Amino acid sequence: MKVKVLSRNPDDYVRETKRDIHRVFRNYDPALHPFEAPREYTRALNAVKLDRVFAKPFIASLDGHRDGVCCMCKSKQKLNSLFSGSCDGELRQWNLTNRHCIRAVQAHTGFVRGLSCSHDGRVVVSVGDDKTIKYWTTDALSEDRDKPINTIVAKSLYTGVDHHWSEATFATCGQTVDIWNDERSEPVRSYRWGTDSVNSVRFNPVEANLCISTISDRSIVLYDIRAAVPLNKVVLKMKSNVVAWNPMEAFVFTAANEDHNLYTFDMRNLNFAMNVHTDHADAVLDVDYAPTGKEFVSGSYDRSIRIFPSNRSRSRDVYHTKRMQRVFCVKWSSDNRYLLSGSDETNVRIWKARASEKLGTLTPREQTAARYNLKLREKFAYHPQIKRISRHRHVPKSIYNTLKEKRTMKEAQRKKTQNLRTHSKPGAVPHVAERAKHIVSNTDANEANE
Amino acid sequence: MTKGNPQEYVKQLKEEVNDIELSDHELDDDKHTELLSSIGVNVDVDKKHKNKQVRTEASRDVSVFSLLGASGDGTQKKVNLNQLLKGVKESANVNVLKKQLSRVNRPQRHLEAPLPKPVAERLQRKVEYQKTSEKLAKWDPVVQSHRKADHISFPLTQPPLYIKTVDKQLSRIGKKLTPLEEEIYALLRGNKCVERPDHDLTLQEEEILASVSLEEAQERRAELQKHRALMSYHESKSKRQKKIKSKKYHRMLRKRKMKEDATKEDDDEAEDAVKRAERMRAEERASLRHRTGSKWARSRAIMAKHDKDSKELLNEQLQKHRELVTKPLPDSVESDDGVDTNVNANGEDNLYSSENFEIASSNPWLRTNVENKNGKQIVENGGDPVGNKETASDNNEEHKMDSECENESNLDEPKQKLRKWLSSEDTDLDVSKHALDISSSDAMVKFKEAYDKLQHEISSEKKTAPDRAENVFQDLKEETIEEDKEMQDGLNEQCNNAEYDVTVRSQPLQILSRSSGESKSMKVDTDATKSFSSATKVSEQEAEFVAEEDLEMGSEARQQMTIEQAFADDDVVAEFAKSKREIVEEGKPKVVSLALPGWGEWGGVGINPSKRKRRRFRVKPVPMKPRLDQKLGHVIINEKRDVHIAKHQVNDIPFPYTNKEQFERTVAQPIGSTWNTQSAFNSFVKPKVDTVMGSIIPPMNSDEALGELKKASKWKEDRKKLKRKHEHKNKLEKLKMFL
Repeated sequence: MKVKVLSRNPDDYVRETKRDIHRVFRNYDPALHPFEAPREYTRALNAVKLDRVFAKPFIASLDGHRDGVCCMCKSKQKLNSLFSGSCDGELRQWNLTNRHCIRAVQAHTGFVRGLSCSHDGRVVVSVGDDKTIKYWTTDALSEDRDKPINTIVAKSLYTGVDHHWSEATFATCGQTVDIWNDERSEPVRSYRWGTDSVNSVRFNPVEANLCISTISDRSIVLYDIRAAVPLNKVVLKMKSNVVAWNPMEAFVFTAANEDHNLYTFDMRNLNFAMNVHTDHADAVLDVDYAPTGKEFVSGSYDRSIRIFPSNRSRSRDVYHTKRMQRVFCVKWSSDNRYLLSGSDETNVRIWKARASEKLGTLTPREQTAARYNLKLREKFAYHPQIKRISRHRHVPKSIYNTLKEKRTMKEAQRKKTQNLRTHSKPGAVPHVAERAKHIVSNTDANEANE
Repeated sequence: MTKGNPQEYVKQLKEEVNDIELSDHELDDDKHTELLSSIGVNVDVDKKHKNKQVRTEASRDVSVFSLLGASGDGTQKKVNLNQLLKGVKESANVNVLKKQLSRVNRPQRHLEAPLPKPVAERLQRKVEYQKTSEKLAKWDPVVQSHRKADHISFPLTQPPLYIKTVDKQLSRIGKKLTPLEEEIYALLRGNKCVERPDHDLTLQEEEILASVSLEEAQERRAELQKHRALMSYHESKSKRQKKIKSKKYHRMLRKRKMKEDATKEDDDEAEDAVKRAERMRAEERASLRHRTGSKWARSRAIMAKHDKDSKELLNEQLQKHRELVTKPLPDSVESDDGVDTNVNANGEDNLYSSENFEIASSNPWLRTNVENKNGKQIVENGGDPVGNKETASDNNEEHKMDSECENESNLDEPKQKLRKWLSSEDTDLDVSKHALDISSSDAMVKFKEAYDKLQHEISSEKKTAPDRAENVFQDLKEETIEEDKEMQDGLNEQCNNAEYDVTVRSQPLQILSRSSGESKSMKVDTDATKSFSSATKVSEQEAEFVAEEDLEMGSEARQQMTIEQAFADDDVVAEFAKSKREIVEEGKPKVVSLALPGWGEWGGVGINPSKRKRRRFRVKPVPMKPRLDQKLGHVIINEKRDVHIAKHQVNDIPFPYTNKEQFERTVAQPIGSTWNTQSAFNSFVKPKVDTVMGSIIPPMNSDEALGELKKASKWKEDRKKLKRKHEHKNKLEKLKMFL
């Protein structure tokens, strides 16, 4: 009699080596898995808790400056190279890989106001309170590394500098916005709109001939360096400190404002802000976009750094340490992994862009697990417990109290307007969108009035 | 106009005359001027001279007015400067003077004052801004696609991966090769079969293509394809057939093959021979003429004791009988199974063959059997008003069961029918029936049905045919429900009869098959009875079903009822009250008995805990707090809400979702590898933004980002071009064919 026996090929289930994982055979029939959603929910809950447990964003601080770090620039060609200028006029070059300072030069007397690296990564331009523009080599091993390649003595004080993304051209700002060519000692072109001094200037990384500046008269002005006149300006209720362009969306920029907010604009429509990013408890001093254009980082006078998704109004994360004082400058590293912050208390700090991300290469299994956890958190993001845990942050008492106070004020303001509206003639107190509320004027509108 | 008014007529005439006179006068003037011109006097000049004032003497008081040329009749224009200049004789200065004059004469033009600087700048700014904004619009599609993308990998442009080919490698190295390498290289280079980088086909392939015309190749390919398909059909068919376990089927197959072969050899003669043999066999089986039953045989049997010849004769006759009775086809000899012979004896086999093969047409009693069945179906359908309402599948099932029943019941009929057929071959009825077979008109069919039924009744009730045939015909025409019921009864009866017949018949069968094995024949017997009983059951059920339908049929009251039912739900208040009552009832605590069987007493199947015990362990419910909605008539407050669970539940539908179901579905869909295949899991957990570790992500580059869009469109263009090229090539080839 022939006896039929179930037989399997051992190759299917026996491990080749001890390190291999056991192959598990599964029946994916949903009828056999009645508790899929609850089990995934539990996993999501665990994932979000673990995310918080492992959220340790601080990596290192680079100390060496003897005064507050007031400006930074990252090399456009090298990932591990960072330049920082301090309030005592010192310029330092850092190797981020081993966190060493590889060069320290007394570049200016007084503040180093601005630093910018050229598109080819060979030259760094610095401007300082001593009314000079200095060119420095980025090669830390060259003989003339302690001396500037070139020095230009200007007539007035410069407050900022930024390099063109594809040409040997840079822009400085001060009394006017000047466009310089590397080979010439006189500005190629200068723009002036109004009498107030210009705080910052930034070139557009995509449409390389566009640039933008913030002016002390609360306005943000757009330029095309090929044109003889500025393009347009928008005036906000308070002064903007810095503006950053989105590196993936040619017409989008975000302005860091004194009113604790950040405003994202489409430069083609300046009547409305695309988004108002609120969360800081004090003036925002610097902003920088992630190279993916999906997020940006902002440093504030409230001694904290916040990360905002570029299409959200609330921050995703907040970084702070006890010792970190007013943050003057922030940068997002070119590989989208790290943040750099320079603050008042002489330190440059390195942070992880995603707080709980594991550093270094991951094994495939780790990577899969991380991705799965991320997706679970996204999937159950609306569930109250998960939302609560993922949003929970500990912030310094000062920030906590200020935010609370701000909330109260805002609520009171809202109530007041509501009362005003209910007790006045219909239409007398119109609803104004938050996105338009903070915009005083746009030049087009002004001209129409004139 | 002129009839009754002569005065007016005269007046008119006068007027006409005047006109003519006037025209005469004009004519005179013309003639006068002609005359003058012929003499040589210029009439016009003369006229001008007449009007012009000419200064004849120099005087101090020259009228300014006359100088300006205010002529007497006022027609003359003012004197122009140029006209004055005409009079001046040509000199070197005149041209200069003219120029100066023309400049003075031109309409005066002057530059506008420049705009104030701020206004000018504002305008400039406006224009520049507009231009830039328009230029930036080219980024919109790229930006939108990036925002919407489920997955983006940065840096956007990653260096392409490519495989180094041997050719490139060799050309790059350029150094001397080993002999083996050279040999291989020569093989690779010189060979016609080697793929070429810039061509789709190899040289050899191209040659082959060139040698065979397109149509020829297509034809051949089609032929080959067809052949292959046929082969595969045949193969699969034979495989399937081989798998079939039924012996009967294989026997049939063999038979059919034999028949086919026979027909191939010599059609008519073989067929005739077969038919004749069949008929002879049938006659023999029906009449048993050559067996021992006849008078002559009986007498021979008596004589056999004494007479050897008679014994031999008897034997001969028996031999002949055997010969006649044995089937002419050789496969019946081959069959060695007891079951098979039994089945053959049952006559099922005959039926089977008659239904499927040509014998059916030659064997009228077998054909009538089939027709009879059909006829019955028609009668049923016609007579049953409910039958039309039933679904097709129901109908089919019923018929199937019916036909089965018929099959079984007819198992032993063949012989009787055969006998009848043989005996009454020359009766009128039979003749008419043959006629029926040929014709196919409706009336004839009906008649046939009637006849079949009649025959059936004859076989069951043993009554005379002719006068009843008419009655049945009439009845059929009327097709009443009663008749239908009758039909049902008849069916039942028939089935019962069949059962009876089979049981009766199984006795000789048993005897016959005793030699081959009793158990098998028994089996067959029981099987047969079983099937019949089931058939009868089915028919009974049918009858019941019909009755029910009849009861339900055609009542208006029922329709009214349904309308009432349809609108019964409209009483919302009552409905709400009811549902609330139900919820309240459900929420009330219930009495629970905690008595365990077998504790302190005997337990087991059929023994319940004693009454005392049950009473003792009965847990009375604690009276609950009054419901929150007890005094609220129109409110149901859910008291079952669990705060501990609610803590984890989503209260509002989050933004991208529009309804609850949508959101619930996405949450219910698991993404883990526990519930999904690895590939699905991988696609689920793919992150939105992916970066390459340690690589700088440069800002978007206009050439690359916009180039991609262009590339996509270019690819489409290229494809179109290629297609056009291909078409062109095809045309050329066709042309070549014709040439």
